Amino acid sequence: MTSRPGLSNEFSCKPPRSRLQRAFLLAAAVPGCILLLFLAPPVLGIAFASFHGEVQLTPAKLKLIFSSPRILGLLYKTVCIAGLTASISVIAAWAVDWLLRKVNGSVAVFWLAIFVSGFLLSPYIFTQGWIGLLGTEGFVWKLLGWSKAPLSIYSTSGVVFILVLSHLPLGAVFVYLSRRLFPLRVFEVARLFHLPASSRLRLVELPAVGPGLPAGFLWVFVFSFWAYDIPSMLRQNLFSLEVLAAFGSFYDYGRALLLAFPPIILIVLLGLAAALPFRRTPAGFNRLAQNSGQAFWPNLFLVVIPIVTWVIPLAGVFAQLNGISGFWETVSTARRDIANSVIYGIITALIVVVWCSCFGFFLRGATPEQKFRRYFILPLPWIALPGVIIGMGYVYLFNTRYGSLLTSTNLQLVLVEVSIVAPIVMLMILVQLARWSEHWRTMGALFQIGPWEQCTRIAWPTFRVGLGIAFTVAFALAIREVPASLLNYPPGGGTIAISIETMLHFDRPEKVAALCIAQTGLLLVVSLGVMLLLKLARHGRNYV
Amino acid sequence: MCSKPHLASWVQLSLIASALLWGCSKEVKSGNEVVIYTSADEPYSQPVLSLFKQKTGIEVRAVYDAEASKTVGLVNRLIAEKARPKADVFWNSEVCRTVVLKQQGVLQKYMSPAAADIPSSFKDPEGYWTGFAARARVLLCNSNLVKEFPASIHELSEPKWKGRFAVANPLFGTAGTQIAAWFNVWGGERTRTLLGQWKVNGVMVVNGNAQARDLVASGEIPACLTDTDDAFEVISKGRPVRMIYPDQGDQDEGLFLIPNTVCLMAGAPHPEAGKKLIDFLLSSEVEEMLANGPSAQIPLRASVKRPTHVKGLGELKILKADYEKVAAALPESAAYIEDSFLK
Repeated sequence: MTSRPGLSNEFSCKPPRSRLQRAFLLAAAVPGCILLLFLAPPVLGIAFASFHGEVQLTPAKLKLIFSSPRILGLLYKTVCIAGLTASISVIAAWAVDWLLRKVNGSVAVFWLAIFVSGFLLSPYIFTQGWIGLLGTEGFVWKLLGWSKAPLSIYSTSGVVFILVLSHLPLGAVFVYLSRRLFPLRVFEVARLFHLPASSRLRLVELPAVGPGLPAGFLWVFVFSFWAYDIPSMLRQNLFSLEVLAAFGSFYDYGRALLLAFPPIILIVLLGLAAALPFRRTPAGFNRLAQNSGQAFWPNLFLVVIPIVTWVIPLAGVFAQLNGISGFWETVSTARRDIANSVIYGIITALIVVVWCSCFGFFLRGATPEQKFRRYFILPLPWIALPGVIIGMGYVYLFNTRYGSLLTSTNLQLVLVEVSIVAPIVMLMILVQLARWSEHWRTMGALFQIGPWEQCTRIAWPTFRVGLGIAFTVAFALAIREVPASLLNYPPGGGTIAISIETMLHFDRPEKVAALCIAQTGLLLVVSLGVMLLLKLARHGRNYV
Repeated sequence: MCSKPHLASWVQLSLIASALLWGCSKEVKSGNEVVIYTSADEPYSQPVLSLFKQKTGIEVRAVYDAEASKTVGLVNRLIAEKARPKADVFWNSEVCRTVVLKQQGVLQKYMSPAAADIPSSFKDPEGYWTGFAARARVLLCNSNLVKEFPASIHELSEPKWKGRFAVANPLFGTAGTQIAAWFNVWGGERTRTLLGQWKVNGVMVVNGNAQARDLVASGEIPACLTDTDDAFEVISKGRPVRMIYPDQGDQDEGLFLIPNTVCLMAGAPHPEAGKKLIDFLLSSEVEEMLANGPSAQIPLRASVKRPTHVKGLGELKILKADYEKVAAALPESAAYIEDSFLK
């Protein structure tokens, strides 16, 4: 068997399964089956309901819906907004990555973490913050002494602006990961031989960031296409609102599914097209050497990015607060929703991380190319499904004889959130599992340790930080989910995101601001809690 | 080599296990709770429900509506749950879709003794629903942008209003009910003519009444059609707006009045607690609370004390609509809106 240059020999043959592997496979079997519980039933449920409801899902109906100039116009507008957002985001992400290369490796990771923190903040914060700054009666215009805003944030360009700021970190992560997986020596050779800029771009730069650009584009496109909160707050009717209205208002499964169907196909096709660059991906898991020196200018630019993307909007939200007493009053009124959010968020994050870890073990590829393809393509149909469609499927299930057993339990909303949050967490965990090494089998045999100890002494110390981050991301995404939660929240079980959504419509910016800050505070507290637990878990012996 | 797992591992496992157990647990069902679905705005309805809990000790578990789908969403949710109802009481912020629920067999009869002094025109003769505190459909104008205020909704068809007014999506909420009322009172042809003129005149259709109101309050559009509670919300904050009760002239047919309605669900899990909640909602105390609150709702009882800015029923000329017939006109109205008005 020949191996391609750059491929490590450990990926070239398939060793027999170790006890650790067998233990993992056994553990993965159950969550693998649970996949059917999380995703397949709601999707099958909505399809079943669509064919059996009053409005039948037929090609004629599809033609009727998509012959409406309003729907077509809406689809066109949404595709343009999502496309523009994704394009700007990945180009900006590429620039960010270029800056990251100029700084020390650990500093680069620090900056990346700061950017990603911005992505975890609720879109409500971005939007409310910028409305406070650039809205009709925005702080910036008042500061400049202008009685009337020269431009309106309540516009298509306003939506693109905020979508770009909130999704730029997602693009940056993909470009960064793509480059990290590129062989270091190619960069070094390019540097040593003083390659001209055009050759460097063609031979080094594009192959390095090539897979990350389409991947980042696709994920940002999907998130922007199905964005609900930002267009809703900026009074722009986009496709996600139309799908939610089709179902949220009329419980018309067929119409909602028909509306969602063409965009899902479009996204999957885009994804497959975007996956093509992976074929050309040079293999190898080398760590890219970073400049060891502390570069002043790159660091300066890197400071500006998080300031613009999330510090300014957060400051804008703080500026709208009605004092500390107003903040506490709002938080006190919404304490039940806040408590619900914490509980739902933690349980969702636990289930998602445990399940994705076990299921991810099945999906991990043997070669870097397999890893790329599986990370990218496998979650594709899933991410293409908007949360509202999954939410609708659960509405159907909760209204069946057996599904109604789960209604009014705390699991009702948790199930919905798990299904929506899982794809991005799965991706994170698959990236972690890329570090899985078959040498651990040998290590286990050498130390004569059982599967439990292999898990606790080898796997857990290796992956615990990654799992902790995945938990925090899952929690952040769960507590900010709105459209599917709106359809499914049990009586008395509203969340903080639903509270914000409600307050938005009562011209109460100070209450929205207080709830946004409370939501950010929750995220901060849980993140610190996770860090503390991870620190506690560091003690004790391990073999890594 | 064998060693015991570290204490931290056990702590983490215990946390995971207890959280999962909690997640799977069913909330304790007792007779001391009531589940209410309400399309009344949460900031207005929540204090009322809290007062009920305070007075009776009965836990209230509420599902509120979303602005995007308004009443329609909750009504359809109740229909979807018909076979296995989860709600005991539905407090609807309007009336026609409550009639739809009655027609769908989702409600059960309950004639509350607390509603004895509410006018019979606001009660279902068969006892399926009862009305209380109402809102009116009004015009809201930005006083910085409008010099000559319209007195009638028909004026919005005039060229001077071209591209200068907004309405909430009439597929939902009170905007939808109002148009169905026109279909009922004026007939289809006249209503279609008016809406057609509005469309030609560049009416802006937005997601909800609150959004239409905000556009007027911020000066982005001069006028809109909205509800009294939305209008009072911005008036109380000192925004440069003026609310006009439309069509109050001698020759005019009057404005459209929309009472809140409350009803008991068929197969309600907690019927007795549900009846107690209905009695409370139909009391004079709640009407007074809603009249004096930020939503400034119009009490249906003349005896209820109200602030000066809240008009009494006797002071308004009201469109004579039969709510049962308005509900019957909803499908025709919705079909026209979807196929022509919004297209």
